[in-house]
Amino acid sequence: MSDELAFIESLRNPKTQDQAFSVLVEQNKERLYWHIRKIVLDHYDSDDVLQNTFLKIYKNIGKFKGDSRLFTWMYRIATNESLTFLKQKSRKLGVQSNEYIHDKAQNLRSDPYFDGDEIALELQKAIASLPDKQRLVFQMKYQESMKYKDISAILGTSIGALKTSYHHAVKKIKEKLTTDQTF
Amino acid sequence: MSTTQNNRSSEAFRVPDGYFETINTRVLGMTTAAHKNPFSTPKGYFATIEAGNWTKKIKKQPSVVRLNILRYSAVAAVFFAVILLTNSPASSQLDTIEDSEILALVEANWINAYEFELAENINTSDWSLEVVSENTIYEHLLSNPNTMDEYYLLD
Repeated sequence: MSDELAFIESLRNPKTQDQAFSVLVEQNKERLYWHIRKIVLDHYDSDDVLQNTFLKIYKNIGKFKGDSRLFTWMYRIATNESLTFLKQKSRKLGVQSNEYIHDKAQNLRSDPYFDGDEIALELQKAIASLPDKQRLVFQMKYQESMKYKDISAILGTSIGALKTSYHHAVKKIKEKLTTDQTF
Repeated sequence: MSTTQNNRSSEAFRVPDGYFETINTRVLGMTTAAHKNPFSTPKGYFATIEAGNWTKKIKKQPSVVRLNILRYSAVAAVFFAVILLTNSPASSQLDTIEDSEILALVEANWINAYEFELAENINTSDWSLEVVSENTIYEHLLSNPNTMDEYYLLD
């Protein structure tokens, strides 16, 4: 933790900020990218959101209170940027954000950066049919194998509520896959 | 239940041919599908992500001017002026001042007023007032990337 405090100080210090930021980007770009990608699905959209996320981190590092781990804070920014991106995109198209992501999932088969098989495709479609919060919880818990306490810190939701949300998400996915008779 | 008793009860039931042989494959297939990442990126994508280009872009942006406080203060002063003028005999025309006209004066930075003047003169009857925690404000700002409010509200 003291290493992290020293690193945060170097991010705030104008003399060392740029160098420290380079290190921050290098250490976290892939993990943040994949978290974003699982929310917005499309690579080019993820690239936009990742850039917005790092810009926001750079601009607001001075306002980071240190009441959570640095990565938790960055993850929270990435999550909110992803959700905001989806809302903005769907608003432009005149649809709801869950409708937008559902359509994206339906078109994954033709996405050149989707290498999954039929099972993976059906699973992504099932995940995309969940409400935003449930989808996030399922992704973070099941696909990213995060602990409930870390998810709680990122989403600002109690662990009990997360467990409930996850339980409902799994149930809905099972029902969806069974209804579609894929398996 | 003993092994003997267990075996006896299972004799009453049948399963499809080859069922147990397929369980591993199906279950593992599902778990592998869930955990295996089906998404890919263009070749060399992560190598292209460098902090340098973004920091240059941020530093090129003009410094933020805290217009919002000035804007609200100006609105307050305009209201003050309206209140004073409505007490005069020739004030009936001022009753029809549109919000857009007030904002135009604000945008032109004609008025300089203190925040207490703003607080006294803004009509809050249409506002849905509720206690907002600092965390809620913080989350709101994080979720609204285009707002300029973050530059002063988090001080």
